[in-house]
Amino acid sequence: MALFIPDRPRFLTLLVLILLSFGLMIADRRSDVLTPWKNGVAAITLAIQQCGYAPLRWLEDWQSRRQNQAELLARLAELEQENFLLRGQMQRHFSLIDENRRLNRLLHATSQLEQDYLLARLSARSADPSKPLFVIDRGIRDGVLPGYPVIDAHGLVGQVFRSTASGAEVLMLYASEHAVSVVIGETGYVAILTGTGDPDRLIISDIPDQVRVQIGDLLVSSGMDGAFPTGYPVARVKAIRNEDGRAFFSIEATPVARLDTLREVLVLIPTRNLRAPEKLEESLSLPPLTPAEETGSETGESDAP
Amino acid sequence: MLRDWPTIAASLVTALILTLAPLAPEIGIYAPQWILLVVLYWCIQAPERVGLLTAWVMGILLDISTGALLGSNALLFTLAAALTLSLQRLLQPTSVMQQALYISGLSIIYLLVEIWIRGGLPASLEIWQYLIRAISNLAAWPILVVLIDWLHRRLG
Repeated sequence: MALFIPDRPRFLTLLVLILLSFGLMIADRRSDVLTPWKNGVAAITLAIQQCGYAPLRWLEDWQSRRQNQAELLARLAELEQENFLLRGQMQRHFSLIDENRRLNRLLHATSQLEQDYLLARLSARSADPSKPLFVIDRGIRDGVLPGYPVIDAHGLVGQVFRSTASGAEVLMLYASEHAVSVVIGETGYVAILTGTGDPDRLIISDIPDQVRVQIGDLLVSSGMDGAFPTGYPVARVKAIRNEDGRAFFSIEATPVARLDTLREVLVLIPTRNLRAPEKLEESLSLPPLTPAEETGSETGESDAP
Repeated sequence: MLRDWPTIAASLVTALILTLAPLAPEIGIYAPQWILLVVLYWCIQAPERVGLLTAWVMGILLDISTGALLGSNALLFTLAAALTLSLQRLLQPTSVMQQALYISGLSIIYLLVEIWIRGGLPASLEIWQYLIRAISNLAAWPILVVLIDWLHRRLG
């Protein structure tokens, strides 16, 4: 019995498929030509993934529906209080935004992009630890595009990696291919925080010795990378590694976002008009921002020459 | 023998679901390569139905769903299927355990070549941890054979 049966058509198919695979690999690495096709097929695989996880979500819903009424009412009261508190704090936020705009105008600076927040629910998790992804139930249809930052109630979670019509994949910040520019504590030193693949370990290397860092310092996004907006908490310093005889040290940090218990996240969608806050403002019935803006622009013009 | 098709389709879709929506994502790296196993099973059992093209398409699907370099798993699936098809007459009559040994040996090569294509091991992972998948494949093969036989009797 012959071990290798000479079979011409099959050999030809093999050759064609191998060449096709190599062609795809080269095209995928060198350019973005294939991205729309990949996203088209990814919509199907994402849908399969979401279907696979659907029973788990039903279970969650069922469990939350089974809570007794007294508990639910207590929870409602608690949330109402929290909402009231947050709205109270938001009032100050509006005056700060206003002041910020005025100062920006005085400085002739272009105002920073401001964000809309979009609530999204986690619908699946990926199994590959070298690429920690999860799937959310919002996609291009809701305005979610690759590169948009994702946060939870505590801090930065990651960024949108791929987006299809009805869902998007989010790359978590501890992925080894993820990096974010941060300010270290109160030092003002800007460094790049990279992931390692380990959920509890993010690193910054080669920080000069004169930068005073303490364990527990908060790392806040600096906005200098152009990918993440300024001022969101990212991680907390866990350990400082100082090798003898070197003028530099490195930091290990843990993310502040609760990555292990993620259920819902916020996607930051950049927008130049303050749509969301104005809506909130209407509901709070605060005086409109326009008079302050006008005075701001007048002073700006008088100062300019 | 047109009645193979429902079983083939059902098993491939099940493998895809098991890969994309695993029951325990935490141990995902140790999970058997379900899609590869199912493709190779059909290459051994029904080489006239499932061949290089099916293997290639499933590889592309895996590439796209995991965000890997497009074509990398497709290439490896095609090569694995080609080798299995050429050894098909030897493999089909042997026992399930012998087939499983062949499959896990093949998957070790598969995993090593995958490291090479990726350009290195994923961070925070040792080589032995990475190769545990080959042992998982070994353990999963008999289960897979039993399950597909059962499915075949149901659908066929």
